[in-house]
Amino acid sequence: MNKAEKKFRLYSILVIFVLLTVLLSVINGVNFTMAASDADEITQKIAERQGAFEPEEPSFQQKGAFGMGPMGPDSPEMNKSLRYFTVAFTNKGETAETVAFHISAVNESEAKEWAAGLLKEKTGWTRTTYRYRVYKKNGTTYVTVIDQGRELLPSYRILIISAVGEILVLIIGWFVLLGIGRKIYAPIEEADRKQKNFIKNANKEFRVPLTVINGNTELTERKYGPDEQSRSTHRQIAKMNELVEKLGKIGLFEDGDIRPEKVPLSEYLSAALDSSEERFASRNLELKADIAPDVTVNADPEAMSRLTDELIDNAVKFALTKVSFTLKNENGYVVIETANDASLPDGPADQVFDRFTTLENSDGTGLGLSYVKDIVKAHKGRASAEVASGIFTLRILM
Amino acid sequence: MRILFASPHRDLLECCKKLFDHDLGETVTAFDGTQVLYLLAKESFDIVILDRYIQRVDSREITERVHRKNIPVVILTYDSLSAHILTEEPVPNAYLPYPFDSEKISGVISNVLAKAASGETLKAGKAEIEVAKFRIKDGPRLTADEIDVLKAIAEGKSVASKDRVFISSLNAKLAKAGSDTRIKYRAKKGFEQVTENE
Repeated sequence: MNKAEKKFRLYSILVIFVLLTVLLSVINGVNFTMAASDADEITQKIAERQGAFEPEEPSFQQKGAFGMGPMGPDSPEMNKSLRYFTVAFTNKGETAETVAFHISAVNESEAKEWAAGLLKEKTGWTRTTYRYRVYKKNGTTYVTVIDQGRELLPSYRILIISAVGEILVLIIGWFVLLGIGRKIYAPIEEADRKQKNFIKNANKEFRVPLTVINGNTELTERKYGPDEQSRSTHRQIAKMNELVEKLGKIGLFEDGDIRPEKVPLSEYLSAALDSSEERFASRNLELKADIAPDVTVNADPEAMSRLTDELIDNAVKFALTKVSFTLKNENGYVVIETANDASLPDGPADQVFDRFTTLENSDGTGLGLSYVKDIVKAHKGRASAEVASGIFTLRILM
Repeated sequence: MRILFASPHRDLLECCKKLFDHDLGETVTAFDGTQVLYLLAKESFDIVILDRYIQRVDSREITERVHRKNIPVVILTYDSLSAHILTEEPVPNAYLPYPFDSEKISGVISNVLAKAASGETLKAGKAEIEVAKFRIKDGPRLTADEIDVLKAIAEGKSVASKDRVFISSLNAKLAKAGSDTRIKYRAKKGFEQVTENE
């Protein structure tokens, strides 16, 4: 499974999780809010009747919403099924009297004690499933507590079903996304594989004709002498040879085709920089190297050698006046960093690693750094690039 | 000098024959493996230049047969050189990746023939390299480029960036020969032969 497919699955499952969580939160939130609202309506009615609950008795013929008859506080059965108590407090709360007591969960003295504890409140939930309201009338404070446990039970069931349902949807979604991800990414991977194969085959197919063109041009020159046309042909052949050489590197270390061993990367980078001094000098580039000694990496030695060469090649080609190379161990990773001045806009520049992609004002082939990325990827490392304040920085973690 | 040049590409055969006839010596061409074997049995050659993907007979089999006749063989490859190719058996006397020009192939042929005629031996620690035989004594074969790199290191010369691919293959071959000598880079000194635990 490639990185893009993994990302697709993770983001998709995250989106499903967020959407489901929001949806179920709204449903359950509304459900609990409505339960509270129903309870508040009842406590309000009780408050209006100083502790009694005696709704007008509607007949069974009375129809409510949807023709189902009155529901909630207006139900004719509410008077029989409501479980509540009301305690009246006088003398600034010193005297407590039970004015209504229709509940089995507590006795009257416990009810008074419970109500006393709520005197300073207004309305809300107490002991999880009990709704209370504190109200004053004619100098008396009434505390009504109603049991909503039975009414809340369906809400709790919906909450649990929602949570379990969400987990199930996420699990099923994960497996569905596995299939979808494969279906979406298989053609992309296939196209990528075909592109690489085409490049590899085209590369091989170009090599012999180039040799023949070059040879025949030499033969023509020998016969008629070199002229501007033959020299131009040689220049174009040289360009093609360079391109063919670069194309030939594509896929060289892919598909796990690496032979890892302990590679002295400090030595490799130092050697590559030492042997490239003339190249930097020929472009008047100021070279700064900060190579920590004895940095090693478990990698394919040849791949590391090519990696350092490509980094140097890239810096020599694209730096304006100065280049720096840094190699160090950092947080358990080996870090290779190259920085050079460049006339590029600030921002992330990871597109430099895409095959055949070049940055503005660049006349490169778009292959060098894609090759670097291939090598780093084959070693399960990471490569990133960015431009900040006119400095192009390439960072590799392995 | 007689050259046997074998490749499945007829235009290439024609072009190279003209160039080699003029620059190097009589060139006989073959476009498949059976022709190569037939010509090898019938005629004598100073060097064989062989396309890696010659048809009908595997180039590896041809290389082994050419080795048995003590004729140097140069393999033309379609890939850039890598340690993977360089350590593949059987090892020819030189590899030359396409595309090349007459100067390049002439250089490779001259280099191989000069080494084949050389009585020189090189040392890599305790390992002895018999240049004319293109091999580490009692060990694997080396290519002309690998011998050149080894020689340059022994003489304290720098190794060009493009030649560093041979360091990996040389180290692999030295290990295969049971030698404890390896080529390593020393800061400010360049590549050196060192014993493994050094």
